[in-house]
Amino acid sequence: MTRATLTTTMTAILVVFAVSDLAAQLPDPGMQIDPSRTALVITDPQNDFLSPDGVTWGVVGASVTENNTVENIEALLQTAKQNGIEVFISPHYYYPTDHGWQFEGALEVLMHHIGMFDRTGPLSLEGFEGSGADWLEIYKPFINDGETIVVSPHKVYGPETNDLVLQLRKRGIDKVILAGMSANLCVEAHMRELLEQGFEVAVVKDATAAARVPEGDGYEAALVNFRYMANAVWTTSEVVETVLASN
Amino acid sequence: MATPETYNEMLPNPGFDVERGKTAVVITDPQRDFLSEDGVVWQVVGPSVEANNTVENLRRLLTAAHEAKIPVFISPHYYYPHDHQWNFGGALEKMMHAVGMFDRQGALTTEGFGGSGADWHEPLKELIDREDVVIASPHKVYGPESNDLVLQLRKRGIDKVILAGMSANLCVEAHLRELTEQGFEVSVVKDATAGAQLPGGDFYQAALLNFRMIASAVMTTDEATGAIEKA
Repeated sequence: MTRATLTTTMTAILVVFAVSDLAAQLPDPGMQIDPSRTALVITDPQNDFLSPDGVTWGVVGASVTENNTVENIEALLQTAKQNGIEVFISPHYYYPTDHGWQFEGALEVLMHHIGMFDRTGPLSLEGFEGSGADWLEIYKPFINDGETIVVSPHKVYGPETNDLVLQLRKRGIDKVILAGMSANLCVEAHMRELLEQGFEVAVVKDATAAARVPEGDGYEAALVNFRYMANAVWTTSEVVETVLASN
Repeated sequence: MATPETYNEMLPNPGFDVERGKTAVVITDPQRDFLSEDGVVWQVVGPSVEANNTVENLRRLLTAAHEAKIPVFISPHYYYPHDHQWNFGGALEKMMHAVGMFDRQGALTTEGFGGSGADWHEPLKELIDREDVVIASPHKVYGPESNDLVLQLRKRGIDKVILAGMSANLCVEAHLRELTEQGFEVSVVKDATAGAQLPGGDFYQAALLNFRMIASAVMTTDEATGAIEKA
């Protein structure tokens, strides 16, 4: 073995050990909150996910109840409003024309089939009030306050199909506190896309929830990816304390 | 209403037909840092790579695609010295940068590249280093948002993707999600990928749950190569 090969081998061995070491001590990059650059983004705070009458309550209800998701999202909205943090909502709506799509993934087919988030049209609010697509009642005072930015609807899971990224950038936001429904689908899709678009993202792990299905727990799957991908994973009370502390 | 009892009956298998001229095989990160025993993350992904027989399955998938003249696209992961000057990164990004994963010396130099962690895994080289394989520019986080993969697929009229590579819940799932958002039909080959086992969870299991929900089809290598041969 030449000296160069030996050095390379030794480096490789050291690096492999370093990974094992790092796996045990995964860095926690954290996220500093600067209120002028930070927004609260909530995905799908809608009846079909969060109301016992919603079409997915049978699979998400247990997780929503255990995490205290409904109240935690409310606490986030309240804290953001009281502290001058801008609030953005990324909703999920399907219009009749969306049901003309020629293909979908498995869960998309299911969502279309059960009429989740259905609206009668992009320019009609007929039947919207109190429907599965409408906001959960207790969030309406926060969302309908004339200040909250409601972006156009996303159409699959992520913000690639709406104007969320543009709206954030237009207001100089580059740090996002993310919560909403559901953990491994729209929340994770928003986390992933915002990271790719160069935002810092902190996910609020108890202000979300997910479906429990025979293949597994969507919430547990999401927690794994939040921890390894996001800049920070916080609880609602940590956000409340951090935001208050920054002001 | 969907309930845990009705979910399995209600969740369909939309399926995926391999249509010649519209379908491509896309492989993410078929690189030594993931797939070689001296790669920097072998210790955490090795058991999953071995259990799934990932390398052999990638060989079979690529071979079937080449024999059937189904186009192959590779989306690699490289970091250049300027990438290490980023102001912030997520937890795993920080770790990848710290261990020098996928490092190259620069965008316009291949010095030190041959046999490095960023290079193709040796058993896959002959199936990738061909004139008919499209190598997209490197992605820089996990998904194809930061490279030209979508453009390259569209320029060749591709709207259906058979997806495999490394690693399951990170770059493969990120590619599944972004291609789905961009209007592609995507099937994932679940045993031609693998994921890390780390404190906090089994990445491969997390990915399987999301593949099943998000993709049009989740196939084994046997099923994927069979569908390619029949197309």
